[in-house]
Amino acid sequence: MIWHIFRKDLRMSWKPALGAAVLQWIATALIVRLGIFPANRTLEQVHSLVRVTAGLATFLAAIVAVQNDVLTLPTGDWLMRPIRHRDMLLAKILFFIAAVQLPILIGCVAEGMGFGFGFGDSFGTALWQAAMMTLGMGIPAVALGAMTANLVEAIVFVISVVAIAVGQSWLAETLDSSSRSGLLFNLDWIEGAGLTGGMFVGGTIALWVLYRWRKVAQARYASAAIFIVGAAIGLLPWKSAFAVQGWITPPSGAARNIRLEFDAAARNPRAVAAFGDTADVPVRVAGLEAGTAVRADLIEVTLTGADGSVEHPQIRPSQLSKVGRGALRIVSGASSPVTVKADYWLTLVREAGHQWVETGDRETPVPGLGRCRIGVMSENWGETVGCVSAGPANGVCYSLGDDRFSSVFCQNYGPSWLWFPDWDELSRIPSGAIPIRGIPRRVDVTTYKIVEHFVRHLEIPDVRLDNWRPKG
Amino acid sequence: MTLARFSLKPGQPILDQLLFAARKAILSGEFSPGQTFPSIRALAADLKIHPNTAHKAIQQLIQEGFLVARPGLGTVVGEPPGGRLADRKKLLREEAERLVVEAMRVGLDLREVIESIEEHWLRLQKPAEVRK
Amino acid sequence: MIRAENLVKRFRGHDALRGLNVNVPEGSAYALIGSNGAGKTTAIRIMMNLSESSDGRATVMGVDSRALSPRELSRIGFVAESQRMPKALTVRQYLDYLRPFYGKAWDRGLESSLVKNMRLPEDRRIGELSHGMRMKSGLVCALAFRPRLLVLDEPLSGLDPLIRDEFMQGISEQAGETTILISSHEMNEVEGLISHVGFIEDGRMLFEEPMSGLASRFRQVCVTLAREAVRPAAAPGDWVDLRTAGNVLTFVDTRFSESGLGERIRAVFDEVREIDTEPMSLRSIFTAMARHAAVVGGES
Repeated sequence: MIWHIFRKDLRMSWKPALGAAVLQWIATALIVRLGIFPANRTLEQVHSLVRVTAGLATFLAAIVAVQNDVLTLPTGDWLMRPIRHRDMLLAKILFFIAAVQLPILIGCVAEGMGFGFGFGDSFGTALWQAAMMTLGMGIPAVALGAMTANLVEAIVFVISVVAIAVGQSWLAETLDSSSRSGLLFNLDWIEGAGLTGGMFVGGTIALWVLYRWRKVAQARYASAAIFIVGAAIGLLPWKSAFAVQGWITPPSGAARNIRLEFDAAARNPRAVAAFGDTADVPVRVAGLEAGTAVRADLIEVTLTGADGSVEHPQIRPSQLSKVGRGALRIVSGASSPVTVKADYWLTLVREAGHQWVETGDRETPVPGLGRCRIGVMSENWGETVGCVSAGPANGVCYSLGDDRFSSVFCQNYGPSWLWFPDWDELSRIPSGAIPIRGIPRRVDVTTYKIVEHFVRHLEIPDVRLDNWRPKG
Repeated sequence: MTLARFSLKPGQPILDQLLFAARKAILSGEFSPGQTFPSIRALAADLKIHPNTAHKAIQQLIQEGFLVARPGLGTVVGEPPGGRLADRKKLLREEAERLVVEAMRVGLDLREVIESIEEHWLRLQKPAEVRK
Repeated sequence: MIRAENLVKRFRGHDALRGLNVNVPEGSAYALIGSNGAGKTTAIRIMMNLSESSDGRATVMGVDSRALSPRELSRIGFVAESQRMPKALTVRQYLDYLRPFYGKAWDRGLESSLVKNMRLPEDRRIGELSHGMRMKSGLVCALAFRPRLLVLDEPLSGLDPLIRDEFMQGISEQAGETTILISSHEMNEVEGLISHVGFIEDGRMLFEEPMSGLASRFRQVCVTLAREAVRPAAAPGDWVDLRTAGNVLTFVDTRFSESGLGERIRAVFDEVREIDTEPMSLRSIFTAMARHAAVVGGES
């Protein structure tokens, strides 16, 4: 009977499903056209618009099919027919999978192959993306359609819940802004897991309550509450998220010997003109094994004066180089000697491989990063290396060039298999990539694997910040 | 169409109305002996009554001899019953008395009642004339 | 076939049902009558598990209404004015869709003859049907599988007389062994079919009895006196809707007995010239009782 109901829904609602699929295909075609370095800004904007519209259309197509048989009112004819509620539910889910998700899957495979990946890779990525979409968007959409009587009600419900989630997000920014001013926030997977998990669990429970007992009010409250709880994982302070990440990446002990020290022997390591109020206090990483490097995810500094006063100065971004050199770029007006206390949240990486990437239009496969090219990201960045990978680029880091002072860039931490697809199914680097110095004919790309996440404390007594500010 | 001149009067038992109308129809020649009488379903649908009521009426009419059950053909109109002795007595005693009492109650005299009886008798006997 | 005990339904603004008891005997044709807002549709929805009661329970075919499963639903036909069938499907497509759910019980021959008799436009979308056509389609979809129980909630409202006729014809023809529950304001149309009546007023059952009993105990009585008629102070409580005009007093006797009426009248009045009684249609019984209930309700 499930197939029979599905065929009826297909007959009734094929138009919205096809419309959503066509929009997704258009977006896919556009993104393949745009490539890794989108040259045409207008086209990029068109693509974003189409992709967002496609997403909405997909969501609505799922809802429309569910609402062919309304649950929330006593007037549906199907309620008086000998139709098992379980069959009806499975038929609606089948509609999402077969009529809505399947065309998107096909589009994803085409997108992967359009970017030059083989069928196997493309299909694997597309399958994962389809699974995540079904769990995180399909089930919730079916649940939303089931707990409302028409599209208007559904949209109102979504707006109210999203408003709460957005308010929550704003709250998170306000509360934890200090953490966010750190160097990078690479732990999106936790937020993604919370959101997707929340949507899926909330949707599943709602569907159970709806199709088993037809309790509409309970289903609405339960799903909204679960969604808000899931989204609240985004409220997790960054440091706690980092700790979770560290717990997931089991410590190997390789960071055992690593310490942070005041680099007394260094001259001002930065050759770039500094700001008048910024003191660059040199630090270095000791105990680094060969072939490993360290990157700083977050730095927090306090200055304690001789009289006991404590200042929490702002710091400007500065990264540790491959050989472990860096600086604390402290924005402070203090002139008397202070004790500098710094806490570093660090990630240890180990070299995994090298690959030359030529300038020009050809793409080079780089293990772990995908297919890479050199191009211009935006006017500010100049030339950089950009890559597209089928699937996530979690847990992979890279540096460009053989300059000892270049630093390591990490796209995203997280389990290498766990990935919550954004509007675009393929993972694209760069988002905050490293610019290339000079105008080379080719660039050496070094990839790294993540070894460990850890925290270190550094105390430098009796520092005269004036000594480290630029003269003149 | 089943019984041509019959329409349901509200407030009176439907079975009685139906029996009266059927007997009248058979006696006045609307149905000839040997013709098929309308089925239970046809009666129910046409008159908007419950098939059970139609069923009861037909059973009664079969008992009285107005209809004959023919297996395979349905019910067929029989020869108008000669009437049993008990029926005749009932008619002459009770029904007649009822008529007289009613007539007295509403203030009719004997002459008017006899005139009326004659009129009805003649009317129902004549098969082909146009009746008002 | 259907039994409801003490049904209570509270909405935010008012109480729709205040302890309703219903008993629909198997094989009966039961009319649920009552004023607008008396609670008929609410009661039916609770009995059919379309709505939830605030208190009380109902059993249908021996099963608790909240536990109605496909097994019972495959033997229940339901037609309501508020029922929503898929607008995008044609009549034919919807019939084709429903048929497999009923299995062997669905009679294709019956379906074809019903479609023909009801003059249904098979290839028109349900959303494009007129109200009357839509109700007839609903009836065909409810009769084709020869249900054991047929429930009709205000099926005739808004239908023109021809379609009303066709509708009642369709029901009467198929009634057979089916138990019928019909709530309707069109009492003249259904009176021929009915065997039992339940009168709902203000969320409670005012009376519930076989039609024969009702017909025998209700009479419209007309008393002509020798002089001006005046409403008696001590009229029996069974006399309802008393009115006077000139020398004539009329009322509805709700406990009529041929032998006793004369005595009771003479006990209250003297100089009685004439007493006329007339049987009452279901419609007039309803209006008399509804008027009476309204008066009583207004007084209390």
